[in-house]
Amino acid sequence: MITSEQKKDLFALWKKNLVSFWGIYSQNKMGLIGLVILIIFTLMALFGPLLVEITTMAVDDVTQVLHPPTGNFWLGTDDLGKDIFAGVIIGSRVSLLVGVAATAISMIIGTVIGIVSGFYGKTIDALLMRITDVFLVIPWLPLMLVMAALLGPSLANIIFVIGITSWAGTARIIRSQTLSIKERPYVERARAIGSGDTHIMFYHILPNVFPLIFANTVLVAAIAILSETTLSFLGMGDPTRVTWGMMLHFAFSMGAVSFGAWWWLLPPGICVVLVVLSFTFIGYALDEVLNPKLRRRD
Amino acid sequence: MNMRNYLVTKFIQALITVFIVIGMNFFLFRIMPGDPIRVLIRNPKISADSLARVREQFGLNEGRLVQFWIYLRDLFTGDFGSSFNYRQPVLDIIMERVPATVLLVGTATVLSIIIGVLLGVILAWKRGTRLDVIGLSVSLILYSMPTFWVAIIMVMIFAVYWQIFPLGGMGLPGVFYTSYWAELASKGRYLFLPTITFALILVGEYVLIMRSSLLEVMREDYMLTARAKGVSNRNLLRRHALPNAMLPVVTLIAINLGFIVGGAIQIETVFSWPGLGRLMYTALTNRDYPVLQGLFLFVTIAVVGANFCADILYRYLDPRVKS
Amino acid sequence: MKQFKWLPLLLVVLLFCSVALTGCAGGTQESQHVFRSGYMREIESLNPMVIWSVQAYEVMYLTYNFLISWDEDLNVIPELAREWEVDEDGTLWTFYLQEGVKWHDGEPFTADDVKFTYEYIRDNELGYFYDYVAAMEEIEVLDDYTLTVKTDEPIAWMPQVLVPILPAHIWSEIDPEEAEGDFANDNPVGTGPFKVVEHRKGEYTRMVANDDYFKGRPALDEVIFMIYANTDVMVEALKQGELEIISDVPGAQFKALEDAADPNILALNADSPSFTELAFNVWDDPGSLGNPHLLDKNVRVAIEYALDRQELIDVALMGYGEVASTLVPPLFEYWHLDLGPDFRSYDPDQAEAILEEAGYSRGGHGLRVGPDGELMSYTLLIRSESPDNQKMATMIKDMLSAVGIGIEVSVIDEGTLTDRIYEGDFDMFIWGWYVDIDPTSILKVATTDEIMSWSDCFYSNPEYDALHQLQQRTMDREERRDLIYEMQRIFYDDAAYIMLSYDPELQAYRTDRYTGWVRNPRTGPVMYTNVIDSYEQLKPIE
Repeated sequence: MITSEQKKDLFALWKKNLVSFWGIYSQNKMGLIGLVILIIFTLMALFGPLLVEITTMAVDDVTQVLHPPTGNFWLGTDDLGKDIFAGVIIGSRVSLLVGVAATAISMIIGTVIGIVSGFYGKTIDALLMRITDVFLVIPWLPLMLVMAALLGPSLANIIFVIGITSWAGTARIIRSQTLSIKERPYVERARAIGSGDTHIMFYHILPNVFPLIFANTVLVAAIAILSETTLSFLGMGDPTRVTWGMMLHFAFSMGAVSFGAWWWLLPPGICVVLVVLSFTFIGYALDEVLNPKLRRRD
Repeated sequence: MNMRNYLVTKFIQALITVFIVIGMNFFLFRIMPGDPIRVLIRNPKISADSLARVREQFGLNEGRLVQFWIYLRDLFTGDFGSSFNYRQPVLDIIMERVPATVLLVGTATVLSIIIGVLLGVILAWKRGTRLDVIGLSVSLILYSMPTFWVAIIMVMIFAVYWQIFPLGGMGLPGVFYTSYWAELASKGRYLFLPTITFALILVGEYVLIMRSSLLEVMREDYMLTARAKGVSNRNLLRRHALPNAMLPVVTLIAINLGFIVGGAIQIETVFSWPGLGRLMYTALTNRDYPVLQGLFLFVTIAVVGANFCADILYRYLDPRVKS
Repeated sequence: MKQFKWLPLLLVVLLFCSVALTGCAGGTQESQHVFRSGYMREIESLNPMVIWSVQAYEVMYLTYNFLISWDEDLNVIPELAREWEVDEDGTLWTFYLQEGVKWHDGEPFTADDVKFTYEYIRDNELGYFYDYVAAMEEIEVLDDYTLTVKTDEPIAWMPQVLVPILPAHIWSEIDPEEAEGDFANDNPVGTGPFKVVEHRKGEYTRMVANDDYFKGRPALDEVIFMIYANTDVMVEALKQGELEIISDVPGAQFKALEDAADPNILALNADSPSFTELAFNVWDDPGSLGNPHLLDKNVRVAIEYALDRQELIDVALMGYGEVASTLVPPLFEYWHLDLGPDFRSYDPDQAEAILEEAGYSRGGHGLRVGPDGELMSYTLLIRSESPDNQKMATMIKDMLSAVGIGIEVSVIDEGTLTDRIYEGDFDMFIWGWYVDIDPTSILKVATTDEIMSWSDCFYSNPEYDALHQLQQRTMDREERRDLIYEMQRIFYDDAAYIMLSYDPELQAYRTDRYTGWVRNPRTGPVMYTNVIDSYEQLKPIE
């Protein structure tokens, strides 16, 4: 077990790492832009729907079906007369939620498998890596579609499906890192004093893989959001819940294209692109922070 | 490890993967909710006898393990089952659609590789300049856009707003062409927009990978040596940097195959292109489980096979092995 | 480096231009009169025994003929049978068939083909056609063009036997098990005006004119059914002249077409015998998983009063539809019962009054509580395939919460919904029916016999069942009508269904290339209806 002294040291270490981390990160323009965009959307997701209700922005006007942007409706209306601007804001919450939830599941599975596989090695490693390879090879969209078809259209199923199919890349990366950490002195020391396997994995390996997990999470999140959008568009989402993907699904099937309703087709897509971009930028920046080789030599 | 051992190892790995996928495929579909018979027979007024007959036909009477054995046996004889929707052998239906998809995916991949590699080289060479930043940003943005969304925008611009290209499909049946050239041009019009859209989606990643791969190679020691020897920039690029930088691209193509499949499904759906992707979407909407199952297997095996070829190719091209 | 850069870009630009230009310049020619029809769903098969979609049926109607057809007033007229008569008992029918009719492969059509077809279907209980021939006891061929059919009891709707006549010389070689299974029927041989020559699943089906058609070769040389994955593309194709007609157009696109008022495109809002209903689980069996409140007629009637059906139609269906009342749509004027003042129109106050009196008063959360102490909270199942139903569901939820009834909307796909219906695991759902010309088939849906088969609400009323048996046997039209009126009244009264809307068929077709469109019935659609008159009569505009 760790003593409270050790805990305090750990905490101080974390804090120091965080400060130096931010020092490097803030130098990266891309990373900052990504962070800003993400913060904006997070705020939108957290407080947006509340604001929408308060300001009665979501009042539908059935006489104004499929209307281009006007004073009342900043982004126009859809085929039911609903305000699209309000839709985009409300949709942000569920879209981000699904992305976050799916990413969480994926990361947990990937990390656990990666650490266990790298730590134990030999047969367990071979077996787990075989399974990982299978999941890496399988084309993701058909697998997701097949599972979603079997389980039925719902948000919970989408989260489940995305989580179950995207952990492989993470597992591989974590595993390689685990392999190298395993040989480090402090791990040897911990083993020498008789620490159990789980203890070592949790208190020694995990904290050291953490930066890698962090960087990888961001990239997985980008994929998760794209996946939810695609699955919803293809009809696997819950039609009673508003997400950006569902908005595009309805736009496409309700004839927005031939109607020329660009105000319905563009905004949800742009939001998805912005969020994914922000994650990608942050991911790249994190990569540079963690991997000094990639930093510019200027 | 010499080439032969490498080949054998990779082959066995591929085989194991395929077997696991087959098993997965089978058991996934056996846990589906609802009675498969109901989905199959939309006629509620079917007699108990007919129902029993169909149960037998689809082998739903036996135990799980027996069913699996039958499934395996059928697979090896090319029997992927019968479509619920069309009542025809699944493999036949799949093979009918293969040419269309190969045409679309093949053309788009070739196009995107050529453009991607070229642009990646240019950007790496002009690293740090305005062009590089613009190029990078555009590639990143393209990479972040949902495939179907890009397709919808292309349709809106080029087929609805400016009616330059047709809205979808692979051609109009029942049209009589005055010359072979006219027929080719007409078919080309239908192929153009989906292909360009697909290429746009793929190009982003190729540019990024090519660029970073080239940048990394250019920093390598042997490059510095070559430069010190006075080799000209152009030769440096062509004879030293490029071949080494191409390697990740080869791997990328293989890794990308999964992504390409996903992209094909979306693009074929938006453009009504009659290929495997669209078949998957239709089978999904109709809950045509045999077709879904067969397609999934078919596509996965194709991807595993392609990966295997890529692994061989990579090994063959790797300069570290050559020297 | 310089040439390197520009060359490929130049190539791509050149390619772009050349392809676009040659496309625009034409170079194609249509020397034949080709008619293209656009639709959203696939033609799943060419085998009549396994098809169920509207479009597959349309192809079947063009390939094969029935013995009879209908005119614009829905009177039965000759087709393959030029005359028929029935004996006094009403059980022995004699059909006199057309002479000189040929199958697509040149073989002559005779009475043997009819006998074979009916017996083949009857003895093997094939497809949806079995119901029409189930009562045929004995079929005899008197000569090449005369045939008798003896039914075990008088059948009021004979001779409307909607069974496609199949060529005996081909189908007798086909194992009945395969007929209902693997048999693709890729080269169908029939007597109809068009013959399938190309069938690409999921893309299009091409038919060419039958030169020897017994009613005269159609002016159209080819009919091609094109399948579209997406409504937008289909509508654009119509506007750009690639299609002559599109059917089953969703409300939003139809409205856009109406508003655009293109002089060459006619947007047709046609009467169609289909309706949408809200069905309750009225199964009073302990095995039922439905909410017991719904077994109380007061609750169902109150729900009907609480729904503003006109509003539902105006918003969810964009105004395309009529408020529905009884099982038999008004399109079938002769059989439809006008309820007059007995119709329960929108009256939320009345709804509340009924609920109060029946012992359902408001409790906490604004929801009413039943005499059994349970909240009035039910689940409404909606099909994921129908966005219109989904819109309605949201509105219904609001309307019912206004009178104190809580609704949870659950969207599932048709397969799952069908399963749950058969297990009695539902409270209410929304679905629809397409009604045959003769009312027997839709009335049958509410009989006890059809529970676990065609019935989807578990309605069981012995009086209704008895009337149904009787009307089938009543040969006198007026007598029969009275019985059918009574049946509609009983079923309406019991409110196992709340009939939401009579839905129109929305079609749009071009008026600048062909003329001679025939609507059947008079206020009905021009295609995808019960007859193929339009296909037979369309001529190019010179």
